[in-house]
Amino acid sequence: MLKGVTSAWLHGLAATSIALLFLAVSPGSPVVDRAVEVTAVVLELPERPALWARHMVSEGASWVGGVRRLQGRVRSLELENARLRATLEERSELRVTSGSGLVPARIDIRPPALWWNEVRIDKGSRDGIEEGMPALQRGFLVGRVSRVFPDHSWVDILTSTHLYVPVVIDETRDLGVLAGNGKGEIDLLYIPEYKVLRPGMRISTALVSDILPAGIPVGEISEKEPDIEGGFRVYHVSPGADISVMDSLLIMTGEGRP
Amino acid sequence: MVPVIFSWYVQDLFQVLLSGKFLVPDIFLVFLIYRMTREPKDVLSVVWPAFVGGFLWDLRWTALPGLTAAIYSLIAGVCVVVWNQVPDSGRNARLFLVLALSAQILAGLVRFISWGSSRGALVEALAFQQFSALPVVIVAALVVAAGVDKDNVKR
Repeated sequence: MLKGVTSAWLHGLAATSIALLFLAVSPGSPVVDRAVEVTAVVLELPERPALWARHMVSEGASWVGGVRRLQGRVRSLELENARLRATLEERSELRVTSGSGLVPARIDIRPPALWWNEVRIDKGSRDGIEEGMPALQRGFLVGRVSRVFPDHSWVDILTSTHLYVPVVIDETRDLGVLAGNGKGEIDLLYIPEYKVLRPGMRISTALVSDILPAGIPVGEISEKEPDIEGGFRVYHVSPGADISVMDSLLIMTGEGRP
Repeated sequence: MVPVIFSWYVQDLFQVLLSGKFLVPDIFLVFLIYRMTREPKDVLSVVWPAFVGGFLWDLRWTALPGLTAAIYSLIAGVCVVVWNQVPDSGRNARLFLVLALSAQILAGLVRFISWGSSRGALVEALAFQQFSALPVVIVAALVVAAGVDKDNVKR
């Protein structure tokens, strides 16, 4: 017994010592790098079944997720299409002409002191930018052009405390007003207390707006519980645009804007 | 020797399946400990395969040759010593369970420390490894228990 135990200790310590010696001398060694490469090459064939299985699982998950995303997107586009058709039926002056379009603009200044209030873009009146034009990111409203100069313009963003945007809840047609708190959050104001909106309900600019065209997607009702102030529910809004990482915008130009 | 190589291969296949997401249980090490219960005096067939398997694992997965080899060798050596030091009546499935689980936790912790990822991902990976090792260890313990019943475990 003693002999076996001693032998186990000796072999165990010898193997461990050799391993630790390897560990000490191997980092950065070209021989080790080569050995790692050779090991990977040698094992490539025997590992192939697992790679196939992994690939199949990954493809399957991606396909299922893709179908769900596409179904959601189709539903969203159908709703948006219906809404826009309704808008055009009611207000023919909103019809987009062939001369209208989107002007891409790069954000060249975002003052840290006014981080959630405004950004400066590198397009101005020479590029056809006018005050009041909506600014979009990823198809969602981000803000509105507030001041225009020949070579640049300033855009008030949704989180600004200066911008109030009349909006409509797509699913219920309730009207409200979006206002930023200057700290990166957006609230939906003036929803009566008895009206209960669900998280995920989509919000677009409203027909009643005199500052922006109707039907521009803005975002959705956030999961956060609404506050109740003076008989109204104040819902928190998750903007569709990623306002914290914007580096460029699309300015919606053209005729038909109010 | 073929079963030892096969156990390493199975562990490697699982790592390919789950690479980048989770750490796999040390099936190879558990198998070596199980093998040790069958041939407790045959130190060479436990410690040095542990070294070679660990070294190969390092070359394939950790790029730190010697890390897993050191852990596997040390654990294998300690397991042999403990198993041989315990009187015959104590060499049963429960002792195997304790040894295999301790080995699994220790090897997992070392891998946990050396695996480069965020803290949250690491904890998740370690938890998965430990929980996924449980069925492997329990099945091996049942096999050991069956061996004890048939008086096949070498005393």
